[in-house]
Amino acid sequence: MRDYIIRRLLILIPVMIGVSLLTFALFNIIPGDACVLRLGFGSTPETLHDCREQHGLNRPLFPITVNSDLPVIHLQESQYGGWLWDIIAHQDLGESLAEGGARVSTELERRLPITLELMIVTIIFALLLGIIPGMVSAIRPNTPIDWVARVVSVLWLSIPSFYLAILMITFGLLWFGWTPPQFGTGYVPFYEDPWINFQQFFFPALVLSVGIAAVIMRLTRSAMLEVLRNDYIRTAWSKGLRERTVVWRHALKNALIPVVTLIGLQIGALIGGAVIIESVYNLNGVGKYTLEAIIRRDLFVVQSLTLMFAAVYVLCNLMVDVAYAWLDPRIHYN
Amino acid sequence: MEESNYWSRLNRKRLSRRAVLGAGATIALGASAAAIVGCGGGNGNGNGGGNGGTDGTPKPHVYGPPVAGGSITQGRLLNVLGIDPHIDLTGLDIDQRIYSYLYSWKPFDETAIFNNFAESVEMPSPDHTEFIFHLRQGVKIQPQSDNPAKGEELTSADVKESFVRRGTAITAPDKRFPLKISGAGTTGPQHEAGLRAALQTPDPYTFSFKMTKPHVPAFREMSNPTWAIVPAKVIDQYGTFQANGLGQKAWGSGPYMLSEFRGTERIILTRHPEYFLNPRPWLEEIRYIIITEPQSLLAAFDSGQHDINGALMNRAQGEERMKDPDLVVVKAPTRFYPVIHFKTHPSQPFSDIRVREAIDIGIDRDEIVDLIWDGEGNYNGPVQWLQARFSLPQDELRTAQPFDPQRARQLLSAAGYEEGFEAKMKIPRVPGAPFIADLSALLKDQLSQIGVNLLLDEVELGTFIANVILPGNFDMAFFPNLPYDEPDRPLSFYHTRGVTGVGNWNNYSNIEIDKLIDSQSVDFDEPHRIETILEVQRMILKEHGPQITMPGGNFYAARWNYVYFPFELGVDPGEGALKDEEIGPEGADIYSTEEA
Repeated sequence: MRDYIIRRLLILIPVMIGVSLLTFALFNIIPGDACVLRLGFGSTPETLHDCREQHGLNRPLFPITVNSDLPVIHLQESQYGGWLWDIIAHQDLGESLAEGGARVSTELERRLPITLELMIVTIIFALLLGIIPGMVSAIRPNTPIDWVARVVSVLWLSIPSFYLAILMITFGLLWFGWTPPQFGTGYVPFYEDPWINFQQFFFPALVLSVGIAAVIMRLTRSAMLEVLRNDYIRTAWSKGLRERTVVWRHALKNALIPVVTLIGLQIGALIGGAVIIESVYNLNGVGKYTLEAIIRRDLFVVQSLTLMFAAVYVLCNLMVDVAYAWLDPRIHYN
Repeated sequence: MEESNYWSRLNRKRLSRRAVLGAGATIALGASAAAIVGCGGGNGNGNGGGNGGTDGTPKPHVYGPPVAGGSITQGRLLNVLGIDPHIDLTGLDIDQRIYSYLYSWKPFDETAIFNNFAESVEMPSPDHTEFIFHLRQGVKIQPQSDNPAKGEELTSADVKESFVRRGTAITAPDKRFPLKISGAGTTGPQHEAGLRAALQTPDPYTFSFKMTKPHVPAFREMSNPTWAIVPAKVIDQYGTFQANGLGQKAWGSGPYMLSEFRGTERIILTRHPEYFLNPRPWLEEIRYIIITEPQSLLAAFDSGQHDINGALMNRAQGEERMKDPDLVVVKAPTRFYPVIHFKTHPSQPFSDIRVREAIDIGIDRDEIVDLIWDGEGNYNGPVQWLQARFSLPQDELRTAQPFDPQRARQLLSAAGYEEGFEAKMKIPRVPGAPFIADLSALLKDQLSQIGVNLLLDEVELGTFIANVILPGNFDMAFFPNLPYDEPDRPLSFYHTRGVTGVGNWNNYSNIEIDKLIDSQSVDFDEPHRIETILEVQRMILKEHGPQITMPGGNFYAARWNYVYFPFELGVDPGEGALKDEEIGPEGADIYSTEEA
């Protein structure tokens, strides 16, 4: 197992370089850059050149260019190479081209806890709203409780999260004259004021979780139904075990393997969803930061965030793989 | 006839209540949105109407004497990407509360208000190229611990360094005015040297310069929020692009000090204790909370989390809140006026004036007023209707921009498009401005009636500017033009040199129009200048391009009634309120009675 984890972590390096190269290339293909946006209608060829010079956007894009058929290497002088070198040598993610030179690492320090908390609470909600109804639905098939669970899951799947978020805000205001306190105050960490923190994250996490919960619910139901038909479950019943023991100890653990896979895959969807939900609920996390950086063509911010998302995604999938071995002892990574 | 001194009558004028109030409604969005595309960026003042229903008869609102202390929270729709007043346009409304300026400006009367660092100005040169400012003594710089000029007095040297920086910074907007001071043809070392040589500081309280060429918009330009006076020592230490430099921190001499800046979350200003108008400013703190989702921003205001709403509401939303006696609702004209750009290259159908006219008269502007602006709107010519003296009368605009689909079809037939044609119209996707998509869809519907099938191509804003507008990469493009306080600026869109000075992105050139636009920019005989401006607009309207303008409407803004502005919309401010001549610079007079 240890060798497997080390191998997977080593694979992370080329994956991240590949992702960052691809992002960098794509970002430079789309028209416009931070200088074009800053100068706007005041752009002239001269001012654009000067601005790009000031921000290093006139440098070669990649560390290797071909000049007269000969490759020329300019590692740190290139935009990509310089950015990568700063990360490796100085653990510096660079600076924003738009926000008055704000350090990306400083912004991340503030914003990462918000997004992490949102994602953790969302996953907890998704598991609670997905696994338990899915399980109940499977052990009581074709009963009213099963029908309700299935209808609700389809409903949750079909409502876009941003729309649900706006509905919640609007009706919260109309019915109770209340909106989440995130609107008026900044982020309040859990250890400072658990009650305010709960109010800030309850609705965003709930909104973000329902889509994932619906998928988990349906998957749990089908996996449970399959597992409940297995011989070893029949054996457990025939031994006279209580329903609770059969379901929780013998059936659920095996039924959860595809659910765990799903959760790993949903991390990507969660990051995407966080971009929208953080904007609607004014949670100033990494998702909102990403959206803003893309809009204003803030190259190094986007680069750094993409790199971070790639790392999170790969690591989450590694954790999922490790979880398989825990859930199913038959799985070995030798 | 011209007065002995063109500007002399302006110096005596004072700020009116009506002109200033609109600032609260429009300034944040105006300045911020201007920044998105890096142009415009006027001081945001607007006029409008207020509470009391839709009949335009505002309810009297009794104002008591100012109350010292307290805090207000103001919602804000758009992020503040930087707070550097010479460079960043997204935070100009906030900069105005942090920095001193030479003077303020009342846009609708085109008058200067000497309520700030300059006490008066002389313009001795007969060609209106020379300015001598007499500066106020005892204006203290804010006392932050990291302020290199902490507690010192603001002087002419600070004005000079600020002018040099504003006039030469790469990303600073419109440099036509500073180029006329330096006499250089373009920006660069020669420009900076020329600027330094021209800007004179004979003593700490006198600042003067002489332009190499006359430039009518110059006097207006200097009151623009981008011409903030930043202490010279601050420029020296923090003036370059750097983390924790002027883009993220501020050390000024205005009524408020920057206490916290997180441009995508919140901005906190605290009272400058040694402000020259002491005991003003009245408030201890102003908090801006940035929420970029309009419905969430409005919800935050409605639930009482914000004292001033930063979301711009439509008529229905505004009128709904007008019924609430605890709210003060302000109606202000949108200063964004929608336009269609035509590419007039010979290979394009729009090089044929008959095609442009067909589209111009194929648009039902009254329907736009009804459907997009909820029945409240005005026609626009090349110069927006708000610039009252310089814009054509509404009747004339309505006659010049008729809705005549039958004649439109005839014109298209005559131009060889009996069956109509298909045209791609590029539009920007602007967060918080749904009227762009709505109006584009309406135009598509209207023009389909004359056989023009518009293919709408929505493009992300950054791409729109970079890849559509600036390189002229479009057949048709739709864009809301931004607030301009001086007619010279919108007219330059129709000049062969264009608004950037290096070429017209519509590929349009008309020498006669160029001559008139050039002549008005150096014409200090105001009645004559107005005549020229009106004449050139009539010529442009007959050209039906390269931009055709559409009506603009109103937006509504609101605040809770315990937040007192020293002026109300056309309403008697009541006993004890400040008189016009007592009103200070932006933000100094706001107070709240919530805690009193």
